[in-house]
Amino acid sequence: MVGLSHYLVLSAALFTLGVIGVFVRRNAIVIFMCIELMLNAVNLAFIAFSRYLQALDGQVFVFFVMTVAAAEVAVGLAIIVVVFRSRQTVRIDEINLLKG
Amino acid sequence: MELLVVLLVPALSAILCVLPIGGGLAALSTVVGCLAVFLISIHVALTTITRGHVIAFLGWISCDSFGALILLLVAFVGLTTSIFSLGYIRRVVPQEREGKKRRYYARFNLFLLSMLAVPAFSHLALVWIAVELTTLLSVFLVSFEDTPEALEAAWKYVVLTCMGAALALVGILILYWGMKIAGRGDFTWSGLIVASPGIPGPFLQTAFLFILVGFGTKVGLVPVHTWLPDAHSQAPSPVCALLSGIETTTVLYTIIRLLPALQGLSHGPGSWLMAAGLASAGTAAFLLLQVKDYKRLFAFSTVEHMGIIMFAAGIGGTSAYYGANLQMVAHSVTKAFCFLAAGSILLVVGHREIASVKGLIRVSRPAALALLTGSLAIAGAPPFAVFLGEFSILKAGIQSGQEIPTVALAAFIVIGFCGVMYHVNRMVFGSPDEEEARVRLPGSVLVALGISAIPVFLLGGYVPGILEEMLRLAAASLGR
Repeated sequence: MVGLSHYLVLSAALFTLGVIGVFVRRNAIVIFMCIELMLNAVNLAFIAFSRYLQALDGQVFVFFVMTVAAAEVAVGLAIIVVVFRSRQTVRIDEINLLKG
Repeated sequence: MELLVVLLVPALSAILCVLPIGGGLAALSTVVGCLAVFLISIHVALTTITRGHVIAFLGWISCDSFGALILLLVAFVGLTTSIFSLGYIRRVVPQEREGKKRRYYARFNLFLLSMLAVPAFSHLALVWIAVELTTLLSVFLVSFEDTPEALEAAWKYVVLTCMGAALALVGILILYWGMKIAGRGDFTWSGLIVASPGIPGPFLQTAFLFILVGFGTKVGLVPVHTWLPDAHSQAPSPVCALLSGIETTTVLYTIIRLLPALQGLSHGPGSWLMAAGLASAGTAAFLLLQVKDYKRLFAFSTVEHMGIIMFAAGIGGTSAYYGANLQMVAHSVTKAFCFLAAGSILLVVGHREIASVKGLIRVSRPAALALLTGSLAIAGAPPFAVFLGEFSILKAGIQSGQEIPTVALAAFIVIGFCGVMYHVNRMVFGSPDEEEARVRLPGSVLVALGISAIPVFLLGGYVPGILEEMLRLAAASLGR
């Protein structure tokens, strides 16, 4: 039997992976995917809570979050594409014109 | 109903802006829309004073006096920046690029819509979505100039604030869990207060910390502030006024609104807010001394002021909350004025370097006077509103027995004042390297500067009765 705690452990693991990815990886696209992983980890927890607490509103909220996350991907990838056209790289170590 | 109209007007304006009829219609619909939103916001504010709240959809879209105060601020700064945009965009975008102008106004309206939605929404999940939309709908405004620097700023802005939003979502999730354990109330600001005695303390504390760090990223909380000076300096100046003047304030509002639900805790959020506030104000005060770009100067000043407001919220008590709210209002109107002044300087001199701008008073008197007035006001010189806000916060800090942190904050304010005025003094009164011809600013730029200067001067000496009542009600709502 898969219980609430199983979902929460999976959600926490996915979220931690996402956070580690954001701090460790240097590729802009991978960093963005890690942020999406964080959002989806929270979505999973929301759905698990809604299911186990018999409350539908959490599941409705997840649909909103997924929509916003999709928009976020579109915006983020668009910026990455334009940055790549301008700088010929997506490595964040090389995107460092602004300082001070 | 009024709240729905407030949200619908910018949406309609954005649709009109994308119609391929000409840049003139886009600009006109934006200004008329912003004027309509401002007038309706005044009506909403007056209604909340008499009736306590305005409800469009119970449990989803409604606002009380605190929300109406933020709504009014967004609407006012939206109006002045839309007027400023008329002349500014006409100068910086070539005549033949009508499509680029239309895109600017469409994005401007959508960005304004997202910021109006934050105080208009009462459901916590919708508030998170509105905050996230403020980022997504302003990214392309930050990268509007298409320079490598602007693109880099937009990249940093989107990645850091989206990561913050993911952290804040965890906080919202924990609050949702806690409310289901408590077993009562809607998932709204007022429902949260009602349910908070039944929510376990560790849930509330953990949720608050996630939301503080998550939304704090968008507010410019040190050490996750690094995107803010970049984005707030690379965007077109009217957008900088929106970003620095009201976007940060609307997000800070969402953090502060959590406080009434946390007051039953033995270890409340006060010390976290005070520590975060002091760290932000202190770091920004020293960074202000070394900036080379005058738009970054005002951006770092935003980090400092967000820290001051957070510190005030952390002190707690009605007088500190009143000071925090007054400071929010004063900072929003003054910082928007400062960025409009910076935009007019950019139109005059064509670059952002502080060292290259000397003797501005001889090149453009309106731009120089606006810069000098705005800088004195935002640095905290009397008799401007920021001075009143800072004074009431310091007074509340001393009265609540927090002498050492309050003295440290006062020292940071003084350092910040010196940092701002050192640079601005050289820009306005220095001797120009070569004789430059006088430059005339567009009429709409002068009108926008004039309108946005009114509250900067007025609030320092006289707070209108309606605003005073709204500030009092907002402070009372935070004090529970």
